[in-house]
Amino acid sequence: MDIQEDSQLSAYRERLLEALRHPSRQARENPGLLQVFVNHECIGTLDCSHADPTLVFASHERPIQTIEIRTEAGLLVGSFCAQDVGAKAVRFPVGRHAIEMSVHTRLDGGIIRMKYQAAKGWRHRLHSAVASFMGGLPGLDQREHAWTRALAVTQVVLALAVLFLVADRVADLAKSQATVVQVSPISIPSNTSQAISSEALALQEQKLVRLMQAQEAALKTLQTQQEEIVQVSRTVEAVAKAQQQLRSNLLTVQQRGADSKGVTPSKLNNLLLAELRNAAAERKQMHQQIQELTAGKEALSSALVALETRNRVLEQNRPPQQSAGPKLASGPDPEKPAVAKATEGAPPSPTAPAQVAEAPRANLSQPFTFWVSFQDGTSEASIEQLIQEIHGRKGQVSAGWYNVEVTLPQPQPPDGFMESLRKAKIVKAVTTSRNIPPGQ
Amino acid sequence: MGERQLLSTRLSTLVSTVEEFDRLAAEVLPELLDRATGHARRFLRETGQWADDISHEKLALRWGYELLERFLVSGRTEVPCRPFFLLDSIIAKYFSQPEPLCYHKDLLSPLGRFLEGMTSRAVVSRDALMALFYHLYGFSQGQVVRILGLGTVESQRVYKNFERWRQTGWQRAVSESGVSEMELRQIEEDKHRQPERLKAEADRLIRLVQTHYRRSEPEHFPCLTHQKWADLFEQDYDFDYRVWHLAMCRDCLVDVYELRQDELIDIQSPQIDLRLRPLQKGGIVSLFWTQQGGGNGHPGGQSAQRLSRTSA
Repeated sequence: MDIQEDSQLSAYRERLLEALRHPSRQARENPGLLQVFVNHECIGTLDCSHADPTLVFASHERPIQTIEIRTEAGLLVGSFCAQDVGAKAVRFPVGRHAIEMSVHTRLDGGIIRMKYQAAKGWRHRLHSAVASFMGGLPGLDQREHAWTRALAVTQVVLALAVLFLVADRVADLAKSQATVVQVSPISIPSNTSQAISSEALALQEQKLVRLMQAQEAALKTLQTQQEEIVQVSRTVEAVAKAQQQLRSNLLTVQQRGADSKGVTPSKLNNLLLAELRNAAAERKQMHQQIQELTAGKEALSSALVALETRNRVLEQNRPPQQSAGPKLASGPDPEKPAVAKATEGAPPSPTAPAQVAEAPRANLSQPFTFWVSFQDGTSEASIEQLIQEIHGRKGQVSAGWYNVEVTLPQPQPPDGFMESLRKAKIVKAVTTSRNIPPGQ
Repeated sequence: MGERQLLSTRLSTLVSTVEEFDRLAAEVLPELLDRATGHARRFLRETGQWADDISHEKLALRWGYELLERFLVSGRTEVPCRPFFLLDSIIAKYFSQPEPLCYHKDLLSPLGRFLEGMTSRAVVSRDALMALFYHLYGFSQGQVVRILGLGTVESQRVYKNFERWRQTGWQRAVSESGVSEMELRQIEEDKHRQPERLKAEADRLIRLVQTHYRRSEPEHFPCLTHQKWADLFEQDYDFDYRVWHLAMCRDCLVDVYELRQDELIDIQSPQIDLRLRPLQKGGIVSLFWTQQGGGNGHPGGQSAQRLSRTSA
């Protein structure tokens, strides 16, 4: 690097040092919107124009390592390095205001809670102090009372001291003017008295003007203080009103208490008895409902037991080769639809399911006769099993054709039944010719 | 040598109060800056990104400054501490991140430093972020508000951002990025003489810089599809996403412009139109200055077309 570059670099270094020395972080005005950066990523903003804004951020994946708070202009007002796992609370001053932050860091994340606290104005402090001093606002603890009272007393004493000093100063000025007026004619020789008296007059005039200005200033100060006192008295009035309101509320509550006391014990007893009677009636009603429900439940459970028993019987009657059989169970079994209907409806009376289950068998069945031949090598046992499955009755056997009669439910068409039967593995052919066996 | 040792001993001893920390830091600020710069220099050397020239020295100095600023603020919450150790720890933690610096040889030129400085500032300053729309594409605050489709409150913020940037932000960013007045004039001259060449160069560098710094905002990183942008504007939500992402992604900005073309008839499409100085307060005043050929270096008549006449 040559000399020119060296000087450029030095100038740049000086600029940076200057920027570090005067970062203007102590701005007194409201910082506006503050940006919050966690691990150098912006995670949100804190709007300081609102009352006590807060920000809560939780990281669920990465640990919190650094937190930075910057103004919209990019000025760094707060920075925090989370060195280890644990909790820490820090406070960053932002001019007269402050940011309070609590950080809880873990290995797999963490939580940040941030709150901006704007500095309170002197008027606010004075009003609250005077209000608490005069009225003793409810809810404040003793320490706070003592502090605010002390503050109020100090402020009043200070105001009085200022007034006294101003008055003293004004009196001093008046005295000195009088001394000048008295001394000048005696000390000044007679031959120059006219000239000096005119100078003295001018001087006196100037001093009088100054005195007037001082008096005006003092008057203005007094006026300002009077205004302040008026404002304070308004606050006190407001507090007094609030107290009055509170007192009237208390009276109302007391009145209500007294009213309630006016009720005679017999009336109260009657009311209580009526309430108890109502409650007992309701209880009785509920008891009846519970009994009805219990009876219904018992009926249902007995019906369920009956159905289970029936199912068990059917299961026992069913041959072990069920999986090889066709999907005949849904078709030819006339009981199933009836059971389904019985369970779909509202809970019936205890005897209802059996009645409903029996009814279709009597009214909806139809006899149906057909001829069926079986695959070569099919054993008689398998044939018997199939006929049992379809609840068939075996008739004559001719040239490998078996005459079978079944009872089909009314809605079941014979064609559908035969189609189902044809799908059975052992069945070769099915026909409805009644008189002449096929192939004869 | 003796003084240095004494200083080193002082900075290695325990500081117990915030006042003590502030006092000590103020006394030895140059030494702290040198130490932080030394760390940055060593990092660049060890990662093969170093050359003995003024550009690299400036880069190391700038990063030393940035890290020292963090140390000065965070150190106050760390007392009691040993200042040297704390500084070293902060720097080590920073450099242990993946790609901590936006380093590219081409970014060491005055133009590269300017663009990198502005974009790096935009990561931490909303004022700078909004000003990017002006510095890169020449959009005034009013035009930015319209392109981003912002509401009333957000618009007011944009105007404030531009105002603060004009008053102090730009000067600070330029000063911290190490671009001298002479270098700015040189770039302006290049822009005047070879506008197309400078535009192409700026376009290339902007892509480099934006790609790096967009990573600092993971939530705002992914580029949206045309349809998603349309939904976002139609349903009028996620102002922050619009501002952050569109300032840092030229392709998406062009996409959004095309999407909202009907509403932006009087605004030119986002093309690289480099502005080195901040937008002046009044459009008319700027126009006057532009025509005079002075005025904070806005040569050429085109720039005046985009100036806002309703600036804050």
